[in-house]
Parts: sequence; structure tokens; C-alpha cells
Amino acid sequence: MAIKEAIQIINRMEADGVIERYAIGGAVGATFYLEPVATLDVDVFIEFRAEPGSRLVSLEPIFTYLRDRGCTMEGEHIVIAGWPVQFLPANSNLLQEALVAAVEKSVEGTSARVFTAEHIAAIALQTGRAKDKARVLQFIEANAVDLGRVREILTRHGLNGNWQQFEQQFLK
Amino acid sequence: MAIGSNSSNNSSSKVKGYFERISESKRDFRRRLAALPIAEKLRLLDSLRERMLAIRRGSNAVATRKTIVQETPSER
Repeated sequence: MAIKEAIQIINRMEADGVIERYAIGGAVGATFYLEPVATLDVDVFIEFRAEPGSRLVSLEPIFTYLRDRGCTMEGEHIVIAGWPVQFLPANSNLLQEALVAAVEKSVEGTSARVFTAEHIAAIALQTGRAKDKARVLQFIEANAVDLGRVREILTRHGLNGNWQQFEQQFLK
Repeated sequence: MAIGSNSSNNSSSKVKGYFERISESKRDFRRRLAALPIAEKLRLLDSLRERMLAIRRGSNAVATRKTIVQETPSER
């Protein structure tokens, strides 16, 4: 079980054209900026491509590619190098922007593309579950985000209300 | 009365100091974890996940045993 190996396979998928640009988000993405937090899966955000001649998007090419390489399905996850991975569409303006702005990080010579800390925080504020708010607090406590940039992102995506609610709940 | 009050204040500030030290030590530990090289942090994620799965397996086994105990009548 090694997450680095899972990242290498995802990189190969991108190089082979099975997926377009990808970026890691969620708890694994946050670990690039914060202390590690236990998680059971990896969230990989991708640009979904419609099937030729269709307006519907399909995960089938991804599943076929990975099944051919010995990966198995586990519910809505596909298990890569022992880690359940969820391929999620960047289907909102915020996720699209996060995907474009994602940064390359080196993991002992392996490249990994990860959402910026500010986008992870903004997405967490949008999602708004307790664990997402806890993550935003971690970012703030660790001084791992530029709050000015987070506010800019939130303003751009009409999420100022989410920030005000969070601020009222935890920072005042 | 005054003595009692002083002693109560002292012990309350000792307790407060104790909790502050714990809190600072936790913050320091988290800072050190966050500052680890990313490869090391990802290895920690691997270990944390294995531990979570082991705990889940353990609690599922306990739940199964409890169910069996509840479902099996005593021998008497």
C-alpha cells in the first residue's frame, strides 16, 4: 500500500492520455501543506471528456485502463496501489479554477499535481461539512494559507457568505 | 479565608499552566509533523490508513462477536 505508487500510476494515465489534467484535493491534497490527517481515500479531480459523438461524460476509459493493469473496483472507488481513488469531475467554476491553478510538487522525484492551499480551503468552505471547516481552521492555525487570496477566490465564486458564517462560528 | 482563596488561586493557575503546556506541546508536535518532507508525510498517510483499517476490522469483529452472543441461546 503506497500512495506514492498510486500517484505514479495517475501520472502515467495522464501521460497516456486516459485523463487530461488532474489535481489531488481533499485530505491527501491538504497533507502537502499541513500535518498528515488520517484518510481512507484519495480525491483526484479531473477534466471529464465527453465520449465522441455524445454529450455524456464517461468514466469507462479510466476504469478499462486501470482494470487492464490489475486495479479493482470498490464501491465508487477504484483501488490503485492499495489506495481507493475517487475520480471526481471538476464540474464547478471553483473546481475548474482550482484545476488550472494546481501546482506541481515533487515527492522524492515523482511529480504530483495538487490544488493550492488557498483553493483547498475555499473548496472546504464551499463543501461546509464539520471536517471541512476543521481543515480550514488547521490551515489558518498553521499559517499555511494566504487568507487574502482565499477571500479573493471566495468573492470570485460568490462564497462570501460561507466565509462570514465560518468567521462568526470559529474566529470571533 | 484569604489563605484558602490564595491556595485555590494557586492550584487553579497551576492547572491552567499545565493545560497550556499540553496545548503548546501539541501545537509544536503538529508544526513538526507539518514541516516533514512530503514523502515522509505521505508514508505517514499510508501508516495511518493501515491503522484505521485495522481498527475497523477489529470493531467489526467485536460487533460480529456481540451479535453471535446475542443470537446464541445459553446452554442451560
